[in-house]
Amino acid sequence: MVLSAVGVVIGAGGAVMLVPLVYSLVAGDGNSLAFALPAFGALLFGACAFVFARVQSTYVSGRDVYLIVVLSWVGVGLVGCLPFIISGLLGPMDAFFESMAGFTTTGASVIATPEEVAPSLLLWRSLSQWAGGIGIVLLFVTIAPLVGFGSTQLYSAEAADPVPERLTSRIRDTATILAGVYCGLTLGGVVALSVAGMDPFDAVNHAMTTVSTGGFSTRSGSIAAFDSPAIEVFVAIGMLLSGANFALYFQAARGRLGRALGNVELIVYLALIAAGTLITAAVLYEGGSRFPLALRDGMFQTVSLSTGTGFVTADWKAWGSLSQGVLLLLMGIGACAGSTGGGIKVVRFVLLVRHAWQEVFRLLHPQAVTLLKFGGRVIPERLRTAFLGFFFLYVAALVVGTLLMTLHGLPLGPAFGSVFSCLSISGTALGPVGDASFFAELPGSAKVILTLYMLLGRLELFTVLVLLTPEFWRR
Amino acid sequence: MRVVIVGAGEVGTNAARMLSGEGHRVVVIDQNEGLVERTSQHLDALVMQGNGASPRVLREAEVEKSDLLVAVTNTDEVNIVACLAAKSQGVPRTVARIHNPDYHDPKKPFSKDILGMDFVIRTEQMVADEISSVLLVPGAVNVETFADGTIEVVEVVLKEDSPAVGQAVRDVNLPERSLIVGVVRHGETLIPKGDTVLEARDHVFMICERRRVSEVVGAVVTDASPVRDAMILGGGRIGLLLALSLEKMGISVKVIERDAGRARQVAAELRRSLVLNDEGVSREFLLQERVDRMDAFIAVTPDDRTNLLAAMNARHLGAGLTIAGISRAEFSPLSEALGVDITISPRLLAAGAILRFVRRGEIAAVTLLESGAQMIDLYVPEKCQVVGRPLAAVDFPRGAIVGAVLREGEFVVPTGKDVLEAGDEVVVFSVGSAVDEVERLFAP
Repeated sequence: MVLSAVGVVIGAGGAVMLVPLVYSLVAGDGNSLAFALPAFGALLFGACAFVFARVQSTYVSGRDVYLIVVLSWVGVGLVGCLPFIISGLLGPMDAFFESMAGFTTTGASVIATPEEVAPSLLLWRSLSQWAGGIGIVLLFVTIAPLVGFGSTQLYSAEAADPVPERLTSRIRDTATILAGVYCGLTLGGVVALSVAGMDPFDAVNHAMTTVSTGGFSTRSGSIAAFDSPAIEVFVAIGMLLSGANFALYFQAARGRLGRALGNVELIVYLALIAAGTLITAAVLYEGGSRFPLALRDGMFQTVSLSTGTGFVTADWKAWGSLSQGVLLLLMGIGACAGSTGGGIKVVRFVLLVRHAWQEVFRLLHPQAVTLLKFGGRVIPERLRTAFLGFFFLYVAALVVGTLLMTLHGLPLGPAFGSVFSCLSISGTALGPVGDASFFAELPGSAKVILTLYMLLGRLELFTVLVLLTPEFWRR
Repeated sequence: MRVVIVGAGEVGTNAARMLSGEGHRVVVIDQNEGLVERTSQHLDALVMQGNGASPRVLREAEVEKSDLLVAVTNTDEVNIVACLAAKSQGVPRTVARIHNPDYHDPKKPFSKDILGMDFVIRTEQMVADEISSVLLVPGAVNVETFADGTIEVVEVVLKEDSPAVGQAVRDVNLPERSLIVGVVRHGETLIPKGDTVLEARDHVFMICERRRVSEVVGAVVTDASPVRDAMILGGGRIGLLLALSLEKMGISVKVIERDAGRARQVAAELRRSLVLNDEGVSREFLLQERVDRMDAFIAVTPDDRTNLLAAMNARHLGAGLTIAGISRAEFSPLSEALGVDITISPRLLAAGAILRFVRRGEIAAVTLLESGAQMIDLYVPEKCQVVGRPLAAVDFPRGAIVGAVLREGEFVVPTGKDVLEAGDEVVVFSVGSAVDEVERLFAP
């Protein structure tokens, strides 16, 4: 059961790999074999798993679902690293790190100078983020019914919305609609970036890594390399749109634009970004930057970090501690639930703040009935404990991860920064963290830990952590 | 007229008493044997035992010969079925009491066309409306609206320090175009004359235009600061509806509900109000929630005794206006002795609503008071004894007074010299015993 499902996902990963294969054949850059071998291998594996391990049962237990999700992600990551290895670009550990940074849309990279890498490999890198963005599992959701089981549980495990919002009664329809929105945004991005002056290859790559809020670039200077206000604005808009809950696009498409715009999480998300933009721009202006440039840099960096994308147009690490603090905070809060962004998600942040306020309030009114409401809906008490547990685990994971990184001889700052950048799926943080050379020089075990943290961040902790409990493996 | 009433509870009995008092023939049906026996002893009506929703029982009650069916049991579904059964047997008009708002949306024809209810009484909503209208006029304990909202009768209780205490009615410094139409002293209604001297603790009824009501109240009441904070005991239907309407008025509300599950429901419905899960009687709890700073304390639990005691307790702890919902008639005389400012009776409101429905066409509105007095809003017909003569020349009963005349939209406080014309809308304040005579005077 698990095998057949994971097989299908890996097969799908192989299918995606046909795109750079074709590109490589057309361009004739000699990497065709590097794509052909893993692509057909994955397709063959998927086909075998589908045919031989198929089970005619519609029941999927919760633990199967968690296992499928995590194994699929790791499996695709493994297949995805093969082209880097076979082409001789990276060693196995670096390749796996790069691949997982792609599929989790973290965007942390060990490749310092993308300009020297073959375009087909760059395309694969961007494509892995694009595929990871919508979620391999979302693809899986559309394919799963073919395998023969209901996918409701899977959807709830993958989407991990704190407040699950079912768009249509059938999960497959939902997945189709979300995929449509995602592709639409990507196409729009390609057109906009081309119009703004990017060449088609760069436009495609950046559109894919923008919509997935991944942050891989084809240039070592990231977006700054283009030095074009128009491109920055389009990329910023793309990241902003991708950081919103995709369910809202569905609502808007259904003619309920007003309701979508009235979404509390969206409003808070936009307000946080506006506040971050104002603060960073004000600090830059104070520091002698001209006004339009201060606003431009402040806005781009705020959007890029709070959505967990990690594109850069300016050296924000030299912006002074206030701006850095604000940006790191926004990175931790992250984007909206149901988006491709990272962080703990705005909805959780809002609910945590409300919960904390209620605790203070209850000192004055011990008998008060303090319901947690969000957008007019009452959050069940069961979910309240889930939020609190999530937040505790998030902090605990940060602490443990930081300690593990210090074991590798890193100073405390970069140790925390590297873990934080992976857990919040931004791929960048203070100091040297985020530079390709920083990640490249880490020992292999440290890369494994960071890869695990990317997965933890992408799958929002619980899904991965449950596999680490003895209870999970008990018969 | 022949009326069948299903349900001999407080509302049903009260409606039966009132309708039979008006000379209608009344049949009451109830399932509870003991209740049937008790009711038949106190009521000039035929009381039957049986299921009022059953077509067979209704046939036995000769419902087909009746002009009206009033279904006021405690169960919505029984009331609905009774109305349907009565309609199917040819009863022209039905009235039903409905608790659950799901069954009745005034904007949709469902309840009338499908469920066969011509008129729906929602006592909870009426109680909530009544209380919010009182809180809107600071200093008043009761506000009644007539003539499509242009005329109001407002009831105030005179405190010792009121400027009006010890003054004769004619000397009270009221604004122009307003009139003292009634005084309730020790539970008895008086129609004041110019030389009637007002006393402390008198309930004074004054009539005026709506927009001047605060001015009129301010003339006789010393403490008329607006209500900003209110505490509601009881998060049942009434408590919730009231809290919703107070929220809309911008009043900050605390709702106390004993049942944890219900408290959560109420908290989910309300936006800004604070919901407290507590019994609401302990002194420590009430003081911690600053009951002493509350401008109004409103007790609307389903239990009369709790309401009365809680209101008394709140008053004792320093709350401003105290209001208690009282469904049983027996308790209402106690309220004044207990220091409760206002009692609101669903029973009385329901009876008033039924009376308004029964008399629709003849009169515009009628309001019943606990003391038995009535405020009647009616149109002067073409040919009747009061038309064309100065009021002083009409042989008006001693127990009644014409408080206001609305002529072509113009508000007039009439004197003995004024002459009523056909088409005038008048508001008459009358003690219970004079109601028949007033109706005769205005009969065409």
